[in-house]
Amino acid sequence: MRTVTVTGVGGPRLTLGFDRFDRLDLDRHRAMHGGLPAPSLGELVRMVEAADLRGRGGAGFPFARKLSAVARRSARSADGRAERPVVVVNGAEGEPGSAKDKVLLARAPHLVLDGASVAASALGTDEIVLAVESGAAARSVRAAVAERRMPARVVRLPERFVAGQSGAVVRAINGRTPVPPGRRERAAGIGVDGRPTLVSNAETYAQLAVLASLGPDLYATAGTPDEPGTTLLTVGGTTVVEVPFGTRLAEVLDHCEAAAGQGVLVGGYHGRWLDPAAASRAVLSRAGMEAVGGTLGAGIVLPLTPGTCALGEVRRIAAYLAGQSAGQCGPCRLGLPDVVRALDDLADGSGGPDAVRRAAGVGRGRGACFHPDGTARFVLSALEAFADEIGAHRRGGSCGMPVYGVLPLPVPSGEEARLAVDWTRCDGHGLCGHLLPELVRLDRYGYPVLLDFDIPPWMEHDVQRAVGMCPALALRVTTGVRETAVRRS
Amino acid sequence: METRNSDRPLLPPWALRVMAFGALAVLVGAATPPGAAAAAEVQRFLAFYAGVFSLIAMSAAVVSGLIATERMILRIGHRVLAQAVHRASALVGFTFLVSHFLVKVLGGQAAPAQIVVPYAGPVGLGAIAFDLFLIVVITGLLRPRFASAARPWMWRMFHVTAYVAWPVAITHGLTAGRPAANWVVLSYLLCVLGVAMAAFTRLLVTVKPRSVPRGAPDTMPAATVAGQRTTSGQRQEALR
Repeated sequence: MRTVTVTGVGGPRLTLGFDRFDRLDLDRHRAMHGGLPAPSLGELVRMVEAADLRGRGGAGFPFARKLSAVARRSARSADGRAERPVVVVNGAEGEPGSAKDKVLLARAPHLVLDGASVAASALGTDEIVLAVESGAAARSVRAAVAERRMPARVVRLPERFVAGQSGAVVRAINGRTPVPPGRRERAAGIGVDGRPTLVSNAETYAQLAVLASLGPDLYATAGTPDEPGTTLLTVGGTTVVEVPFGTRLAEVLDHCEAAAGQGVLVGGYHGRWLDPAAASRAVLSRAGMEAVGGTLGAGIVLPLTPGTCALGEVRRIAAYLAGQSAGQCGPCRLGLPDVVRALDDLADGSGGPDAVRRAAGVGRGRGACFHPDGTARFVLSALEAFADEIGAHRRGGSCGMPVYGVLPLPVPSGEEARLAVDWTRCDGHGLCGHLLPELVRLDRYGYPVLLDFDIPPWMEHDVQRAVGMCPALALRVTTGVRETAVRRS
Repeated sequence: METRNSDRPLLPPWALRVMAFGALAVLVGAATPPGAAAAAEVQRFLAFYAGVFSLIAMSAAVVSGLIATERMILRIGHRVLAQAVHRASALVGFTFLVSHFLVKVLGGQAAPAQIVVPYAGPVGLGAIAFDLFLIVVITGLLRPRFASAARPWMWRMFHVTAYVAWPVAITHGLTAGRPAANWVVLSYLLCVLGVAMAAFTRLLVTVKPRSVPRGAPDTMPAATVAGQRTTSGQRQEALR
C-alpha cells in the first residue's frame, strides 16, 4: 500500500486524533468522540435531513431517503414474517486515485462502526456487514469488531473498478461474483440474503456518527449553509484531506503543495477535467463544482503536472477503464475499446474529436451500471479541458511531450497478457477480427489492427479461442512488461 | 493464459452429473431383460456400423478442414463455422473409432494388441490409421500451445499425417472383415469424391493470388467493421 498522509483544512472531525495516533483503538476513540449515541429512527432521519447528508461514494444520493426506504421496506414485510434489515458498509473504492475510505477504515475503524451501529439500532437490527478491499483495512476492521464484541461480518472484495458499485457489493456479500447485477435494483428492496439492505460508503457512516454525536446544529458550524459539514478528499492519490464544504479548490491544492498544472481531474476516473482557469474558481461543494462544470464524486482530486502529454494520460486511463469493464454489457464491452481507438487516432492526428465524441456516446445510459457513462464523462471533459493540446496533436501528430503515466493506476503485476501477431505468418484470414471484435479490427486489406491493451479476465476465453482458431498460427499471447514504457506521443 | 477460473470451468458442473446419471441408468437398464436385449442390439449395431460412421465423420472432418481457409466464396463467419464443423466431426469420428475397436476387441473378434500394433493384413491397416489419427487428434487439441511455441510450423507437420491416415483408413474399410455392401462402397466413393473436390479447392486457394480489396477509403470502413461485429450469443451459436 502507498503511504498516505492525512491533513486537514479547518478543524478535523473524521480525522480527529490522526495527528497523534496511528490508529484509534476503542479507548482512544471514546476519548476523542465520546459515547455511542442511540437516536430513534425518527430522530435520526430528522437529523440527517437537517444536515442534508449525502452518500460519499460518488453518486451523492440523499442518505435520509435511503434510510427511510429501508425502514419502510422492513416495516411492510414485518406483518407476515419479520424481515430484519442489514446494514452494509461499502469500503470498496475501486478507484486507484482514492484512498480516503482505506485510510478511514485503517485508522478510525470505530468511527465507521459507530455510524453503522447508529443506523442499525435505529432500524432495529444488529446485522452489520463490512465490505473492505485492502488488507490493512480488513485487519483494522476485524480488530475493531473484536474489541467491541459486536456481531459484524467482514467481507473482502477484489480491487476492481466495478466491484464498488453497491449492487456488486451486495452480490459479493451473497457469495457471488462481484459484478453489477443486470437489472438496476435498489438494495433497499432486495439486498443481502434477499432482505432490505442499507448500503452506503464508509465515509457516509463516519459522517453519520459525527452527526449523531454533535447534533445537526453543531454539525452545521462547518461548511456552507446549504451543505454543512466536512468532506474527505484524496489529492494526487497520496494525500487525504478533510475540508469543510465551501473551501476553495485552489486553497486545498496550496495546502497539499500541489499546483493545478495542465488541469485538475475532479471526481476520479468517472469524473470531469477542469482546466486551470476553472480549477482556480472552483469551490468544493456540490453547487460550487456544478458551477464550473465539475463534480465532487467520491472526493478525488488529481492535478496533472506539466511536462507530460495530457492526451496520452487520458488514453492510458481510458484503456484502464475499458479493461475494468465487467464485460457483461455489449455497449460497454465493445464501446469502451472503441473510445481508446478514437483517442489513439486523435493523438496521432489521423482522427478528430468528433470521432471520440461519437465513440463515447455509444455507451451512454446503456449498461447495468454507470461505467460507460462515467468513462464518457471523463473522456468528453478531457476534450474540452485540453483543447489546445489536442490542437497540437491534430496539426503535428504529437505535442512533443512524453507520457510519464502520472495518474495513479494499480501497479502492474507482470502477469498482464497482450495479443501479438507474428506478421510474417499472418495471412489476413480475419478470423481474429470476427472472434475478438473488442481487441482486433481489420484494415482494408483484411489484416488485423490490434489495440494496445492488457487482456482483461473476462476476455481470456475468447482470446484462447481466437489463438486456437488462427489458420496461420500467427496469433499468440505475450506476457511481461512492455518494451517501451515511455512512448513519445 | 492457461489458467481457468471457477467462472468458466472446462465442463459445466451439470455435465459431470448428467454423465454419472447416464452411466448409472445404462448399467441399471442393462440388468433388466428388455434392457439387456436393447444393449445387445446396440452392440450388434456398433459392431457393424461404428467403423463406417467413423470413416464418414472423418471424411467430413477432412473436407471441412480443407475448405476452412477458402476465401473466394466463404466469408469469415462461414470459415469460423467450417472450423467448428471440422473439430466437431473429428471428435465424433474419433468417438466412433474408439467404440469400433472396443466392440471388436470385447466381442473377441480382435486381440487388444491389434488396436495399435500393425500386423500384416487389412486389420493392420486400421491400426496404422488409428496410430496416425491419434497423433493428429492429440496435436490438434494442443494447437494453441504450438502458436506460442518457437516453431509453429511443427504443428502443420503433425497435422498433415491426416492425409496419410485417411486413405489408409478407406482401404482398411473396404478390405477388412466381411465383403463391403454396395451402399458402403458407394458412400466411401462419395467420401473420396468429396475429399478430392475439397483438396482441389484448397489447391486453387493456395495457387491463386489473393484478391485484395482496393480503393477502400483510408480510414477503416465503418460498415466492414460493423459487419465483423457479432454479439457474444451469435458467436456462441456459430460454434455449436
